[in-house]
Amino acid sequence: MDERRIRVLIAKPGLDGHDRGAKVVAQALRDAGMEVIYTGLRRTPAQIVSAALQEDVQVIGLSSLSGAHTHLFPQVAELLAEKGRQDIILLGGGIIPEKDRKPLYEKGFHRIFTPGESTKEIVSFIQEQVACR
Amino acid sequence: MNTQEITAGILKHDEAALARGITLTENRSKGYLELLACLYPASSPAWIIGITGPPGGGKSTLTGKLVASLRTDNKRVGVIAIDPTSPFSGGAILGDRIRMMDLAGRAGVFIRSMASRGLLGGLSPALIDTIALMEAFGCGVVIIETVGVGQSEVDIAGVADTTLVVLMPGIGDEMQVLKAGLMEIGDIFVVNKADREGADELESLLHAMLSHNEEEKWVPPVLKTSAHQGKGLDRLLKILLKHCRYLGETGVGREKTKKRAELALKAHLETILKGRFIAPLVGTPAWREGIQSIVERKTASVEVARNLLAGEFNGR
Repeated sequence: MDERRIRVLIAKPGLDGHDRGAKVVAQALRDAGMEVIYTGLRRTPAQIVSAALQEDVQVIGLSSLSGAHTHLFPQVAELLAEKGRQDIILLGGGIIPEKDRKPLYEKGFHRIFTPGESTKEIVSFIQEQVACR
Repeated sequence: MNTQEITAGILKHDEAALARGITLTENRSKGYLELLACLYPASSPAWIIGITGPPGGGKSTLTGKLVASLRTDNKRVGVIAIDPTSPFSGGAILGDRIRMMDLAGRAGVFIRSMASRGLLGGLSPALIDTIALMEAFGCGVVIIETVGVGQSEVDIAGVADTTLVVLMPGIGDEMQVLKAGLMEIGDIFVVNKADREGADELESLLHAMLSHNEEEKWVPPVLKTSAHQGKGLDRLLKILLKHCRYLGETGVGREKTKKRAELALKAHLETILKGRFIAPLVGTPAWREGIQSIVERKTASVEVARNLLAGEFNGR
């Protein structure tokens, strides 16, 4: 009996103090049957990647409301690449200006979600992406 | 990674291989049986410490601090943090790791979050097998942290060599403590968040409840800690190590190992039987008729169950 569940790591890199959004997303993913490892505030890229590997997640969701996306998001992508884990679906969310998204996609992010997009969207995206791997 | 690569990787202490191996095992995916067949005989038993107690007591913070101290001998430490799966969605929020993130990336510490995946009571086969993988990886200590609700704390005591029960003051009704079965399973009792009001009273109450059984060679000690403030942890470590020595020097350690093997075997048999006999019945015409018969008060559910199974056996 195969009992696969989608495992997602949600983290907030940097010094952000607001995690309501991240928690809302975590709940939505849980309600969609996923196992969500929520690692909380103020994480370094190294801690995030190390946790993601130990937990063998298929998805990493990074949340930033205060500009961490410019430096810390790419660092997570780089560390994952170093470990040969570009197979992990990398998502970003929070306050990420339009102009900053393309560089993130180029770095390896698969999708950036912003306020206003529904959690249903996020769930579908993840399910589709995992299904075709 | 294929099964051979995972096996080789785990024996070489490769974290990515262990992570992948645990996933394979937890999902009961193709290859996990070969993995265990190779790795179990190649592994040495770890000291298994179970940490349980009501939610909010500070177990995860305490676990995090303990891991740091247990690492001093250059031991590899494995942590399995279990959180409940939602019975409605099948998903889970695994949030114990938050309190241990300082350990993330630290050499020699492997933390894995596991969802209970629907097991309300009874030992999880996936947990039993994950412990074996961590032992093969080289973990000298495996800490299992679980919320003490319902049966789960009793089951952890069945798996663990040393069971720590973590309580905190202000839980209200002391009868809850007595009722819950916690008193019978702990080898060591901790009153965490001891800076809070009621800590001394809880400590006294626990002492009183535990000291009546003079026949036992090990009388469970009670101690106060404040994991967050780092207080009482040295003493806790000393007592833990004392229990570990006690297990080795008396026959108790060996008894627990045997008991664990029995529980593990039963757990696996139950799971396999459920899969083989119950799952195929659900939704069949006989099943639907049976449900209808129960709802219409024609047949008691136990009779329906026995008929379904008899039908299963006869049909084979």
